[in-house]
Amino acid sequence: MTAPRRILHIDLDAFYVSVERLHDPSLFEVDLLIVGGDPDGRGVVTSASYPARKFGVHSAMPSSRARQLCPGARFIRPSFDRYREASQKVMGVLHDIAPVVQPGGLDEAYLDMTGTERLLHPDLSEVAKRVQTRVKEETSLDSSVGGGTNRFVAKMATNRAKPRGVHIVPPGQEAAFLAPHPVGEMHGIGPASVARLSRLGIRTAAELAAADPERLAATFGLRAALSLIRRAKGIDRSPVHPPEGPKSIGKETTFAEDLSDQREIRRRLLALTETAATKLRRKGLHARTVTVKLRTADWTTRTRSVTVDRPLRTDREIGEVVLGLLDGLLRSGARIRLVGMSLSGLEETVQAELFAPTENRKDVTDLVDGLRERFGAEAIRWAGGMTAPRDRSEKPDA
Amino acid sequence: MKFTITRDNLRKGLAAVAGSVPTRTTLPVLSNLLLEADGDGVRISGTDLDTGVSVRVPGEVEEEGAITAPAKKLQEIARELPSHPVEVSTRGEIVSLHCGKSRFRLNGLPRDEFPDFPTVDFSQRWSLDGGQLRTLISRVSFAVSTEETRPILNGVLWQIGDGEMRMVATNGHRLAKMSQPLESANGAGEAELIVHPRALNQVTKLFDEGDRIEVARSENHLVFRGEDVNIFTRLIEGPYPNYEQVIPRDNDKILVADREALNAAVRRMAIVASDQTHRVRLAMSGSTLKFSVQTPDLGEASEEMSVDYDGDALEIGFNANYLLEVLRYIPADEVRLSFKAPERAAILEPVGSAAGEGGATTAGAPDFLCLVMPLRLMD
Repeated sequence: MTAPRRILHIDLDAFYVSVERLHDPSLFEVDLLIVGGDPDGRGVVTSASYPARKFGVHSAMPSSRARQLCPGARFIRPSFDRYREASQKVMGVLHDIAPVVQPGGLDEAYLDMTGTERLLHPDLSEVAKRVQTRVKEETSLDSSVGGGTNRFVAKMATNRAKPRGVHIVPPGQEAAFLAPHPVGEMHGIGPASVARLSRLGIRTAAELAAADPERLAATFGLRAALSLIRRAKGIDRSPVHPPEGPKSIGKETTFAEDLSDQREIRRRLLALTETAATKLRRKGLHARTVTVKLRTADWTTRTRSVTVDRPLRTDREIGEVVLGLLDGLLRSGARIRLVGMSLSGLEETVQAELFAPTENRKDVTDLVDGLRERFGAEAIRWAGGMTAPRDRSEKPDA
Repeated sequence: MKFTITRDNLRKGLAAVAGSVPTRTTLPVLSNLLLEADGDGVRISGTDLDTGVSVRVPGEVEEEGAITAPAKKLQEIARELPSHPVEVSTRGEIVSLHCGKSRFRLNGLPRDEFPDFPTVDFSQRWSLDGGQLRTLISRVSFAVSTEETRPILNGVLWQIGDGEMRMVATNGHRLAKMSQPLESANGAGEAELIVHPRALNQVTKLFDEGDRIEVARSENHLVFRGEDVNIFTRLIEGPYPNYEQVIPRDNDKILVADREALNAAVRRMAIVASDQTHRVRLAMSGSTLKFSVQTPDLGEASEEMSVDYDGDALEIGFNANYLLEVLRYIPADEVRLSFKAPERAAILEPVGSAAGEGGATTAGAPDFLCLVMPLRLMD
């Protein structure tokens, strides 16, 4: 039998709040701090300080609700460039220590430390402490680190370690560690599954681990049932692997007020398209599939997508496809709450054309990208994508 | 109408026109063949409106007339008939076939419903050698586009000039061009025609080396006329893109390799290439050509071969399928590839002459050239 794996999971504590405080130290004085959208509008909470969390505030909650729960809190708008930069720094430190790093978002990552016994330390909790210390030293950010023989257990251990702690589950102790956890706290089990499990009389990981697979299968299907039981026993064979290229690039926005002016909707969608297309080109990719998403005032969401023969690259090529799709989705008079678009079928290689009608367009695109790079995305836009002053309640990348 | 024909002549005639009958059509009469009997014998014709084929076969005509009958059933019947003369006759719209002790009656459609073939004036015509025309078509027409987005590229450009004729086909990613000397174009002058490859394939099927083919055009149509065969086709309207402009003049990195060896290596690499891009990477330096393929989620492959290479080191990516197609049609044992840069078109040409190629009248290397646009390597 091979030696057990040594997996760590690191989660930055109140990451967005911390980054804001490092950026503006006066915020260290503010205990109740919430980063997120406008509480007067439709914004949602991105992150809250620990004292604010005691009031029941959590991420993805509408900001207006957060203010009800925690009236004394100070709200600040998120600045994603800052978070991205801080995240990159952290990932740099992690790459320096760990053989394999798989980021799980801006503020967390899995590390596979298998085989580092002699290089770092035979005791995984020592390794975890070193990781935590180096991140703190080099980025001033606090983190919590969990560890175990697999990703799932490491992630669950991080929850136990929060904040600023380290918790390692020794090999063989996985099931015992998980046993008292309510199923709702198990990573990957959502409220719907919790409710279904509860109807079967299963409330804790221990009960789930001991459940009859066939009984579970009747509700969840055999595959999902077996997977749930495995999880509850602390078994997870999924490897930590470095991130692959993106599978899609997309943008969506919720309007401050529902829109029914079709020209305005088009304009907003084109502006999103430009942003996504610029990102596509910055990554050196081309897209074959374009998807447009529309949500009406009554929360009906419809999407339509098309895959084209030739990989798309320029704002105009993509914009034409996007508008075509939008026309198929828009009903006249419909009140639209959200529009979005995404590019998928991303390719790195592109077949060069003998008769390139787009050669001029390509030069223009390169020029436009150069301007956006230097002066920001707003510096130059297609006239069709121009809007009145930017919608203040725009949500970040979906 | 009433005529008698040998089973083999009937089979031959039906086989010649079968390719021009559309497999699916909204116009029922197009699924039929036109049978005509007159003083010269029997004529069988079929068309899909874009191209049409008409052949004359020997037959003993007892009563002149014409009718159309279902192409597929006629062919199936002819295939199964015993080796006896076949008597074909009509009564109203019913076509009867008697052969030995077999009798068939098929529902036909009147002759009037069958579209008329275009009339083309043959007083101005080109007279061409069947072998030359076949060579051009067989080497070039593979490169046409099959996508519907640019109809013009669905056709083969056929340029007839003073002392030379040339065919060009491309799908915008790779291009084939071949020329043949022309002894006598017989008066119809110079022309640029864009011809659907379906018609050209009929030409290679129905004309042989040594056959004289007379070609004449009207505003919208082109007709190939042989002794017993006429092929009609609707011309694709131009203009054809300026291909001369995209043929590089300054490709200075030259590689010469054995065609078969190159072909075999690309085929091996293609196995592991991505299903979507079919990308293979070629790296040339010194006298080594190194192929490599990496496909995420599948694996990788590499291979080296010794070649004659003159130029700075170069790495370039290609769609393996495009390379293989071009290599298949290059009429020589050795192939010369020339490059400029990783994002520029590569030229593939035959080296020296290969026996039996380039038409009966040409000497030296056939004037054949292929372009393949690279796949840009982003990483």
